[in-house]
Amino acid sequence: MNHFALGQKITRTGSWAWNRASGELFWSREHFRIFGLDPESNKVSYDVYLQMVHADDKEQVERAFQEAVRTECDFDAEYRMVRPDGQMRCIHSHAYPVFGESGELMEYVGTIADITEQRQAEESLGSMQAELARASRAMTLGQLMATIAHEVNQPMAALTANAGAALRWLAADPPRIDKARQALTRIARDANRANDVIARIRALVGGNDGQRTVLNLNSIVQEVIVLVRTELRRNEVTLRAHLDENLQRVRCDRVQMQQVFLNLIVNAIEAMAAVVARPKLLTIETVADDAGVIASVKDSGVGVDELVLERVFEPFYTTKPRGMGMGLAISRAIVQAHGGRLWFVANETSGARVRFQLPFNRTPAE
Amino acid sequence: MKSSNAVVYVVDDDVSVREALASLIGSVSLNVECFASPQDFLRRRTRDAPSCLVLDVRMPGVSGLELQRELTRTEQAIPIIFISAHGDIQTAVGAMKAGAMEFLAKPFRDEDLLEAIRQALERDRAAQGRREALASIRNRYEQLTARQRQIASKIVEGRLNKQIAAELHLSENTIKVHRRRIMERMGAGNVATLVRLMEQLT
Repeated sequence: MNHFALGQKITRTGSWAWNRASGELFWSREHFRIFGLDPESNKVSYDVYLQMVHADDKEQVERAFQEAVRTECDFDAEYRMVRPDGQMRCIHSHAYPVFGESGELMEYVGTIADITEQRQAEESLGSMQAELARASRAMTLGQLMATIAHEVNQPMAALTANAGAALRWLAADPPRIDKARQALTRIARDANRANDVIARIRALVGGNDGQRTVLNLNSIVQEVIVLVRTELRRNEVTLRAHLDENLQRVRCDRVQMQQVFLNLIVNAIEAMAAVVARPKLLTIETVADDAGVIASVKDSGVGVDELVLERVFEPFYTTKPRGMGMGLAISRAIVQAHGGRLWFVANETSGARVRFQLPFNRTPAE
Repeated sequence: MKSSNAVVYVVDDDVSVREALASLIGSVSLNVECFASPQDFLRRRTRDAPSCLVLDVRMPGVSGLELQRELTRTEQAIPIIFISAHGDIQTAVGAMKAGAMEFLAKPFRDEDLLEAIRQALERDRAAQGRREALASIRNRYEQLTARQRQIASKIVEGRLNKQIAAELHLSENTIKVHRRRIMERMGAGNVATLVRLMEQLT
């Protein structure tokens, strides 16, 4: 085997030449091998070649070649071919025109490469990524659904049990009207509770304006700190609250703003879960500027990769193994519904800082 | 009018669920006692009548599954009907493997719960019969003197009066008197019965 042939074998590249005047086709030994033919016992022609191209790709290859010849341009095609033993291969072919002394098109000289394995690898990688994306999305959605289901199933269980009880008390001899009435009263109460759950979810996921009052953001921070105290202690997180004493009051929904702080604080605690060498420090600040009130929640965790900085606000996007991916999306939606904005502060020395601003008593754009 | 002395215990942290189940179970003339947490249940339940436990899976603090394990560990087995607002198959499988009677997803049909309670009480009534019989045997055995217990275990091993007398350096007559006492106290008509009773104590 000469060096040329060896090189072709190693790179899995075959070469070919097509003479325009005679229509003759030349294939290198490697080209024969790629096409699954014995170079000694086979003659090649344009027709033989076209017959071996996969039926679905034949038309496209023929058109591309005719077009190349007509415009005297490079020929470049990717197609599938079927070997005599039935095996299908993916081929990439590239050729360029060779012109005579007077500039007339003499022939095309080109190479073919067997890219079957490459394509297969790409396809399986693609399908794996798609699978992963689907799985993680389904899982987080599933978790969301599970949470909602739990909140609704609880009053539903009470409802059905009370209904069963009421019917039985009425069927008793003598009927126990008092007991039945109590059960029915509880049914009304539990139905309202189920309703509240749905309303709260709707409010969380956006849309509903909820109940807005004029209040001090500091009081909300303090309420939420009480809620997360155990969580902070369990995770050995030190809390520092720098709350501006002269903070002006703003118009906002108390429950929704609690939700925002809660989301940001829980995120911060989780971001510091892996921190061992540094102190775990959670800093909550409130301060006022000309346009409104600004609050920020900062952790001393690993920070947020620049690449995912905007993605973290997408619903169902999460970097946490068990996260639902709704926290930041909901928080931002709530702040925006209040006419404010919520953003990540870049270039922090360590950890991440999320900051949001609520404008002074100004009704948000309807 | 209560149809029996059986008690249904309900442990659920949700007050709405507790109230509803108390009413439902009461409506079929069963005694019911509700607890807001497993700790409460362990502290306050009284145990002599046949009973069963309707237990929520997820509660803050001690979970229903942990309570199940604790009851098994301390040999306070009681038929358990789990109720859960999470249709979590893995949890259900785990609970059933650990011996739960039933696993009902909230919301469940009231008939399903009442039927499960009926079966659980039936099972505990049978277990109760066994428990009482065992307590009675233990009680009778405890009335034997140390010497009589010693002799009883030798009888169970199949020794003859003569052999026992020799081993304990006592007269054969003394052994005969003890043997009669032992059979009387244990309420055993013959050695085979005594063997069966003693086996249950180990």
